[in-house]
Amino acid sequence: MSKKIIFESSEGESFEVDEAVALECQTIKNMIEDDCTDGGIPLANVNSATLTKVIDYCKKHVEAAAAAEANAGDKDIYGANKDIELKTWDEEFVKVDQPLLFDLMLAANFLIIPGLLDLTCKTMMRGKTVLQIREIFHIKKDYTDAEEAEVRKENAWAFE
Amino acid sequence: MVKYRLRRRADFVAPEIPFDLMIEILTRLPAKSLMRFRCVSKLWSCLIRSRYFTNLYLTVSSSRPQLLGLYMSLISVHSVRHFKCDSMELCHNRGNSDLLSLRLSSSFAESSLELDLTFPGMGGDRMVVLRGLILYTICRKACIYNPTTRQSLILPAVKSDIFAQQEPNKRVYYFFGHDPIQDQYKIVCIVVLGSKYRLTSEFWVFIVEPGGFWKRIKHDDQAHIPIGQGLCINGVIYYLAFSNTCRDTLYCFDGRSEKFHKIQAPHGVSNFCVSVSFIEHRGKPALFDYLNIRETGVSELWVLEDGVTWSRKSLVVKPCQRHLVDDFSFMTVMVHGQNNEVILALRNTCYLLCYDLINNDLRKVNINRESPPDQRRYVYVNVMDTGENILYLET
Repeated sequence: MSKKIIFESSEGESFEVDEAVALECQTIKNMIEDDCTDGGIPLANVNSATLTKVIDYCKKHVEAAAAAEANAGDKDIYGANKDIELKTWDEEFVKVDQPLLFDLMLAANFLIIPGLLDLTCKTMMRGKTVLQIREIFHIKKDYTDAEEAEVRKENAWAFE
Repeated sequence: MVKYRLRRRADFVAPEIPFDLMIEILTRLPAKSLMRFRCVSKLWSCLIRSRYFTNLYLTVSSSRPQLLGLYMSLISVHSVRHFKCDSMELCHNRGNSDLLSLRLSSSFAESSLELDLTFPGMGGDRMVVLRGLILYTICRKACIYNPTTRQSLILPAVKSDIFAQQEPNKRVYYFFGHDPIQDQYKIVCIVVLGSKYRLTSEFWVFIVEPGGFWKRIKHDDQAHIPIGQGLCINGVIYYLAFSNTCRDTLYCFDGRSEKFHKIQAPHGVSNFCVSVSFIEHRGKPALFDYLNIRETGVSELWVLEDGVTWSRKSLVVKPCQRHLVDDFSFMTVMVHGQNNEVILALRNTCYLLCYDLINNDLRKVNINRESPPDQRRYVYVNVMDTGENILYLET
């Protein structure tokens, strides 16, 4: 039986996961290597709802990696991942509301899960206008209208 | 209370995001989005334009798994002269030349190269691709094009003494380098005058930065004429050349010390001009000699191991792949290499060959083009960089 790691969410709820799943998080991997995971790992800035999702993500990716290894012969010369199924799963996975998506991104950044960070960042920014970005990130417009028009003109093709 | 909650749901405002995470997010966006998001605020614009972010973006985009991409330069016979033009001004006689960018359609074995974009008036046999940027020559002037941001920059003309002379046979060659220590993009220009009895050459360097200018470099060594495209590896530009007394030599220009020096070519390699291609192999300059590939299936790879000595490796095309090189004559093959693969492109055909030099594996890749290739055109091929560079070009 594989070793178990216990996470504790900000609400104090415990989550038991296989070590292999926990290893998907670089931060946790370092802790395991340093042997300081006994008695559970408190994650004070990750709530239960987010943690459940993060664990789902890691589990899925560990399983997918194991499956890919089993039929390693399928890999092509460029090493590109042909696993369309996993990609579809990822797409479904991030079909969540904005607050949860944000929490997932922060958790991925904190726990260092490159795949999840990539996925959440891209999903968050996809198709956003300049105005939406300012709203989401509380950015005040510091350009005058003329200045903004100038910058817009320099990169007109990007607005097509 | 209820009303407040509803409001929060409707227009969600994110928690404060640390600046380093913000940078992480931005490096993952497509370049087009970044160009658009320069409008968000002055801080964002500054960040996106900064060298720090530009380099980070290049590194991140280079590390993504990517399919083979190629630039194919198609030049009508008429406009070949344009790229080697002697005119002091831009002659605007661009003729019928186009640069096509092609990308492999999928990673499957039966993949083919699909046309992605067309850049009119660009290309040429002296085109160089470096860190996602393209350097090409038009009417003696060096032009840099950034395909990621669609920005182009024409460098000022070199104020060469040779240009002022009334002699014919003046040539200008440009090489593109990047010094990783000082993080500077440098253009090296070699101006050559070939009269009946002697060669004269001048050497110039230009740093691509605000206030950049052409600086003449003293180089006492014998005048020489470069052949083909140069390579930049680790801040050093390498190029092949010949002179009146020495047929084949390798020159290198150290971008940091701004000095040239000469490296003896290996004995036994074929004539540079005919069937030898200069490629980068596992981070080192290498000569790929394909003189006998059609007749015997054998090609030679010479790698400059430590800046002085050459190692030699013979490759024999697998018997089951020999038929692929049947159509070769060395006059019709253009070779371009990157890392462990060379691209063998036949002029005027609809396919090319990728030769994996490590695994000795040759494969055919079809090129999908709507119109049949134009017989009157010259074709040159460059391998695309995997990274995207959002560098803002200015002088």
